[in-house]
Amino acid sequence: MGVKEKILEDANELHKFIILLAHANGESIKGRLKLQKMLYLLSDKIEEIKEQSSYDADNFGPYSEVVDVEEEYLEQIGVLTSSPGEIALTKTGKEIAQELSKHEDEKTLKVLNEYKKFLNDLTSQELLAYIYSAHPDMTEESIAYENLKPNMEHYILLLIKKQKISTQRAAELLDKSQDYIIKKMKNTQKIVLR
Amino acid sequence: MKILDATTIIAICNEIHCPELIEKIALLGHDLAIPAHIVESELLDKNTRKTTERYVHHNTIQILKKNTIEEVREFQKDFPGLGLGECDSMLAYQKLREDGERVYCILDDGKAREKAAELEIKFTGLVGLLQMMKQKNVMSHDEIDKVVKLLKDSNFGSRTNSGQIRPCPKIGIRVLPARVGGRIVFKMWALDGVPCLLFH
Repeated sequence: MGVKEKILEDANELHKFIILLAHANGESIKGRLKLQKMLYLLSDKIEEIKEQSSYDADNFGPYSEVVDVEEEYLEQIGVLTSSPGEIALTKTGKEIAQELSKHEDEKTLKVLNEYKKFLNDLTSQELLAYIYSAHPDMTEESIAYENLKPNMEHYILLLIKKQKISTQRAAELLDKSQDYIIKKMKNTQKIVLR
Repeated sequence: MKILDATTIIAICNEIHCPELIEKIALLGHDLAIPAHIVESELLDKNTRKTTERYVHHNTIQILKKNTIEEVREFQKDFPGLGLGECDSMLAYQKLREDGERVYCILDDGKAREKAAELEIKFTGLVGLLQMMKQKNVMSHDEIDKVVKLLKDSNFGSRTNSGQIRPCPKIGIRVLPARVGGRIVFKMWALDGVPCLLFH
């Protein structure tokens, strides 16, 4: 049995979602940290990911060892290629992804595209600032959080500037009023250039 | 029905300090509503909350309770960049449309407007409302000019030292002078680039 048939028949949901994420928006995943966090956020939305990924709070926020193991397995069998800051599909991987896309419902594919677009081009600090503020339970055990904590507001405001989040979402993440965020945007002189 | 978002209320109450604009918006016709989540959460500061509650008390604004918080949180999972109030507005819009009601959202945040467009939600912003007020003679030219100046000087719009208007990337408006038929006019754009107002 070839790799393509094997993956299409193994019914491993994590394999499926890692491949579909690598395929989403036609761009590679910008590193393992991004893959980990994308699947973590998606696990809140997609039950199959939640069931198979077992996320725990770790040094750099939510971490799933299973996700790392399955990603490495997909590399070993020639579905993915990985270099620092990039996880991409091989030619076989792309063929598998196209086949999987045909059988996935459109709403799920849209959600995958949305999350990849949302997270893929963030810096590590912006990504972690979002994760920690949206999921404070994941700050336990984290060494990265202690370093980020004094600059959390700065990174969340950068997410507004990058048009990733609305001022209202920023207010929720920082537990402030939206009025405060709008005023802060002016004070930081990143938005208003008067 | 017009569904107001927190950003517009903040612009009116805390940025340009013209709370009476809310009454003028109500004069445009259709019920004016604000999603319950915005009123019940900590999104609004003391001043904005007080003004909003006053207009709710006088029935100028209704509180819209179309969604449970669980439904709103579920909707937000599809759009992680939006606030719960924005999600509440958009979800309420979808439900009201299904019920056959005439409805549109009033959104002044760039991210919220981007997602509303993706979801084919009919929306306008404060600038669009000013345009309607002009068309329906709810406000005079002088009054509108005053509001425009206040908006231009607020966090919702700005001018660089070079004299060119630069849009802030999230919220706000642009006002640029232009020559039309030998006369100088001022054009306003919402930040999504749609020209929405012309001042003579």
